[in-house]
Amino acid sequence: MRVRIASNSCIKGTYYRIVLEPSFKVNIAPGQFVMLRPATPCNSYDPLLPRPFSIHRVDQSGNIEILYKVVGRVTTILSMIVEGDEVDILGPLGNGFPVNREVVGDNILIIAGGIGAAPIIGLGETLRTNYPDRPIVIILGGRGEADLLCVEDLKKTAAEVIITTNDGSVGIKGYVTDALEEYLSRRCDPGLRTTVYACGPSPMLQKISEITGTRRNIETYFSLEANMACGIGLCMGCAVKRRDRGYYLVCKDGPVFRGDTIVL
Amino acid sequence: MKPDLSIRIAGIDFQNPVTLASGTARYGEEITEHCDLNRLGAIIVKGIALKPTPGNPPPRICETPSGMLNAIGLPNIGVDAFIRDKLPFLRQFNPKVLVNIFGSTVDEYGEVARRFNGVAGVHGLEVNISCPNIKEGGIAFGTDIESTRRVVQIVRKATTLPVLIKLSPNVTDIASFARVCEDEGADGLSVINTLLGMSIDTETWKPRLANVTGGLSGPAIRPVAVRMVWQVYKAVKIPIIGMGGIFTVNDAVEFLLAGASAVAVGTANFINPGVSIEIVEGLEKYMEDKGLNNISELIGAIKN
Repeated sequence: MRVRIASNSCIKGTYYRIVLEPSFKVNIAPGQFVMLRPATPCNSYDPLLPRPFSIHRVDQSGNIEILYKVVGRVTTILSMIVEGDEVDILGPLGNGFPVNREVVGDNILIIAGGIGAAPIIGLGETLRTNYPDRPIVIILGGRGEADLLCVEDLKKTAAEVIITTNDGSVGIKGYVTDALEEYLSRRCDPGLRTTVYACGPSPMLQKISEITGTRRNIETYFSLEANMACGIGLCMGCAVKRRDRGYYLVCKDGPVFRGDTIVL
Repeated sequence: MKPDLSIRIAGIDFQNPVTLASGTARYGEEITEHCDLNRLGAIIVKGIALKPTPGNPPPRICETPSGMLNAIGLPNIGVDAFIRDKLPFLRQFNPKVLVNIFGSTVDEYGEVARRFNGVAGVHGLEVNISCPNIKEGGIAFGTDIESTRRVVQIVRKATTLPVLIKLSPNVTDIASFARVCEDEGADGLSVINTLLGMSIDTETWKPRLANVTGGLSGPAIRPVAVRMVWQVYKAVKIPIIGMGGIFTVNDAVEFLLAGASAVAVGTANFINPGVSIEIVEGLEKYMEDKGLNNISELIGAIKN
């Protein structure tokens, strides 16, 4: 589906926001993603494959907002697109964060690292609307101040936002997982059910898994990233190891998984 | 008058020469939302073995200039589950169903082939002797002429279905492999599978695929594929399904001119899962524009 770009601009440092104007109505669940490819001139094959991006939010006029970090060739090309240009998108795809009663605990913890903040705004808003009586705590981390996204938006959603930076420029010096350990051991009643949602780099998710795995009454849900060619289960490229046997596909079975069903 | 796109290949009647390449449309289910399967000539399903196999650890794919490397490693649900759970879905559609099969031993190829005898909804077998990503059951057979011969012999003996052999491009003289397949009774050839490739991340110094090496596909390999189709076309009489980086109708025509009787769209499905239908429509228009009545007028029609 070819869509027009309403805007594409740097929000801070190497982080950008691109706004797509789809000609169709989009209903999304927080945590879903789109496959996106610049509509290259003369059908050039660079880039060849579309890339998966989580949806940040859909605004009131139905535009899709995506946050991305310029990390390589394709995101550099993407950052040069201007208003009025076009991109090809497929989606929304995949399963978002589960927010049903069976899943959501008495305590809600949302953890995001760096660009992992992109999909959690919508998650926080949905949880706050559906469970107004349950406190939401968000732990947001980055290397430094420049890697903290959406802080003001998150503060509106959550009862508390705990910020960590590796360089100590803002908030607690350290990782989100240090803040998580601290929170769980000192401030979280182990008698209550706690649900942890997380989006961020793989080592962060691994560490969260280790920390929560030794405690009772905690369920985790991770949003994963993977190399992906199609986003719809054709290429089988985006495998993630299942705890029992074989592999899941991040695109079809995820991108959100229960932490104890996968091996990171 | 509408041009006639129908073509008979290896004794199978295709309504048009456009097919989906094995490994790029699974067993048909996921792609139907984006692609009207009924308008295709055939669908070649992802490789099936006797027993289920999990595939390779990630990362399994990466992009390279005008192409992609993959080392998916042939995850498959096994022949029994395929026949029981996946084939009923495929039977609802017009396109002919070619089942891509592989084995880890010569005998296993025979055994998988045998299991499809008399199975409704299977029109032919495409024998994968050329997957570069698994230790046994692929390239080991397809790059050795005597192993190729033994696989073709055993599959030929095991089945009454039309047999196509999917050739490896990772050989010095593909024509000699094509001749062996023809001599041993193959009904057709799929040309080509992926080219063995590799890519290294210069930041981490690690290979970009967990399997280290992988199969290269996409527009990057098209000239190699066209050349090999042409060489095979000159060497044998049995029909060829040409594949390798077909993204547009012109790419498809190029393969037909080189000698392919049909084409398979592969990597392009990942970028646009409806592209094969655009190619069917484009082919009709191309023939009208050129004043052609029958698709056979294009096959091997290269002027040289």
